[in-house]
Amino acid sequence: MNALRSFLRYLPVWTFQACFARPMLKLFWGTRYRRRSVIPKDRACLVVANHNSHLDAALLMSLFPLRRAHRVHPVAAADYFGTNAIRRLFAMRFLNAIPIERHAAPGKDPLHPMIEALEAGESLIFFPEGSRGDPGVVAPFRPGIGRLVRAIPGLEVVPVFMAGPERIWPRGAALPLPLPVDVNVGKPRSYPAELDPREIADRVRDDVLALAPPPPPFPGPRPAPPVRVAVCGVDRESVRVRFRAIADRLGGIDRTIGVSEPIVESTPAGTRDLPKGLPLARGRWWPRALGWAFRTQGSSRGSKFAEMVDRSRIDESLQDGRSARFVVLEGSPLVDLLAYAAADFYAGVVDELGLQQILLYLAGERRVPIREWGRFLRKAPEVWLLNIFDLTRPHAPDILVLVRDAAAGGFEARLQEAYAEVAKVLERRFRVEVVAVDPGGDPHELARAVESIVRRVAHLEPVVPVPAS
Amino acid sequence: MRFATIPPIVLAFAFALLLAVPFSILAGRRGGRFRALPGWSGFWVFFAILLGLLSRAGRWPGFIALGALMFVGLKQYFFTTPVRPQDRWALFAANLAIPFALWPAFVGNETLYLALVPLGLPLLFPVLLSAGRGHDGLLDSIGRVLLGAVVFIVAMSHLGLMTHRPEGWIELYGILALVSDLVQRLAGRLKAGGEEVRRGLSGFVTSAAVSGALGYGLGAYGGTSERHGAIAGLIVACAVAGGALVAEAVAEEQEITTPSMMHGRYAFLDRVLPAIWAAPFFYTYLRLVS
Repeated sequence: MNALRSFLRYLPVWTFQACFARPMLKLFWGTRYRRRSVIPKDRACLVVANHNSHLDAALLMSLFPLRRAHRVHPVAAADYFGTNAIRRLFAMRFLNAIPIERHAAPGKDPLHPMIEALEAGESLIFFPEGSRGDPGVVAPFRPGIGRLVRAIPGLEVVPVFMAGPERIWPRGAALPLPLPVDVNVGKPRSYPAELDPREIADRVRDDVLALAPPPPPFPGPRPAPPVRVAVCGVDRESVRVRFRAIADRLGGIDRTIGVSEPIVESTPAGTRDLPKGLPLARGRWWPRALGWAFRTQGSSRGSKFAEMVDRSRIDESLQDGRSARFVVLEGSPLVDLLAYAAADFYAGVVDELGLQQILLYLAGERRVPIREWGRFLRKAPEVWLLNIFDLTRPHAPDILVLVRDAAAGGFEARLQEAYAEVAKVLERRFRVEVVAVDPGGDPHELARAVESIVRRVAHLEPVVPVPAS
Repeated sequence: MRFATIPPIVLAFAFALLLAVPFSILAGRRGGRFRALPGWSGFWVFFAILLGLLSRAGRWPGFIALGALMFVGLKQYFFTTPVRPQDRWALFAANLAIPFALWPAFVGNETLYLALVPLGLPLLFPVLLSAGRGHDGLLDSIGRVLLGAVVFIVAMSHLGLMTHRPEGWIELYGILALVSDLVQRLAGRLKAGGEEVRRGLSGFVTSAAVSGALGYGLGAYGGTSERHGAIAGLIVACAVAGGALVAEAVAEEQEITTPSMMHGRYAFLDRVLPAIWAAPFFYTYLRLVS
């Protein structure tokens, strides 16, 4: 009897999902899910997303398998959905929602029903912004999400970003439009319970925003692409010191992103690390798996290959010039791979034509011919992987700073020669400005020299030296 | 079914497709500008099915499929080129216009079609867009909505009009558009901003020559004469080049590059625009001379 009652209780939820919501989302709106498989299928989780539309709850419910739909509850504002019978019926019966009092009476915990549901193994869909807000704007998250996370230590939170519903059915619009929807799902994660609820809310918001695709372009003139400075060389420490000095210096002119581990943001106000990096649509697991499977070598050994691909993707994503005026790279994927290929793969037979060929492979302009696959797989699997799997298309920098190391011996000495060869090719073929420096030189002096070249390349006013009094 | 009962133009279309698809997949392995070819050939398989339905399966299934493609095309287009929030009604009207454009094409009433579609829509949308509050960016929005309407309603509905014409027009159009587009993708396309002019021009000239020759050879099987088939081939090659140029320019305007690909949604426009851009030109020319 209980089973029948339970079946009848959840029948509207399944029917609504199976016969209306899911077919409409797929066929009418052409919804695309990214990383939907990471949603926990057999345990409780808290799905947290941006909220701009009435579609959002149905969209997020469709992330779960239909057989679990009755164990997923969107959290709905009681003061909105409880105002009339139709809204109440729709929210509670068809969407399986749990009502939340946004303005609870003193002494009453509005989160209590949610905590109970999570403890009972049910999953929740939560919109921490509190309301649909302005289209396309992700408002600050309310601390309620932090309190919920603190109440259940180890709770898995799944950040989700939805792009499209804000244009399909924003607040105040009478009818939904047929436009596509993208739902980007992030990895489930938990947050330390000892943090302040406000801090947890901010962290969750950052994780949701990290999944956001690039904003649509505005009409009118576009910003120029950023000026790229790459610092390369065999001595990693010297490279790092010079990278930092140049990033600091260029940050004094305009916003500069330093692509290293971690990412650095430099502005006239100062330089700071961005430990979370920049949001990218594609994750690292695939390059990491490929790097592991094909035993990448040299500077791209193992997981470093995925790191290198990531850096190149970040560099690509900064191409639109909106996020930064200057980009400084600690090592350039293109230059490093070319140099390694020249030092190892083409050792002894390196010529300009060979380097240009690899450059075309790396830039995705040419495919590696099948007859060459064996040789590339043995000697330069990184080049082959980037080319065949379209992992990224590394750019040539505008300015290449080459740090020489007089003490380098053996393979490193060969590598250093290869860097010089690559620099020559880039200078001749792509008009890249090359600055060669010794490790003993002053990094700040170098940064000043690079700044003057950057100003010339970017057509900025030159620095006027202050006359001595 | 015996081959003798299948019209030669259908066999020619199937043969062209059978050649183009594996060739595109192989060429796609070369990378660079050829890497979009496998996806393009996938689109053409579906587009060929649509043309086959329109031509051979009767009007209802063909028009339902055509309406679905128009709906999907508009949806993808307006996702890629967003309009102002106050222009929601124009987008709604654009989708509602699909049945109104297909209905005269379905019944074959050209006068009604002319009044409703190529004349009515371009005059209706500016009114709808001007009715909203605030006029900042109005002209930009009008341009975006009209381009969507012209391509996905006016041009596409001409495929429906072709169903009332002699047998073979649709297949002939399919062959000429497929070959023109493929040759231009292989030999070079005209690009926005005048880049790689020589390669673009050589691609255009080659495609015009190939398309014209095919039109000449297949014109008699496609419900027209050799001479008009050849001219229709030239027209289709020109229009395909125009459609490709528009697709390139839209991508540049919307900053659609590898990192901001909007999850691949632009690829649909790149494939569909050249394929349907030529439909009104082809139809009107053959209608005038037949």
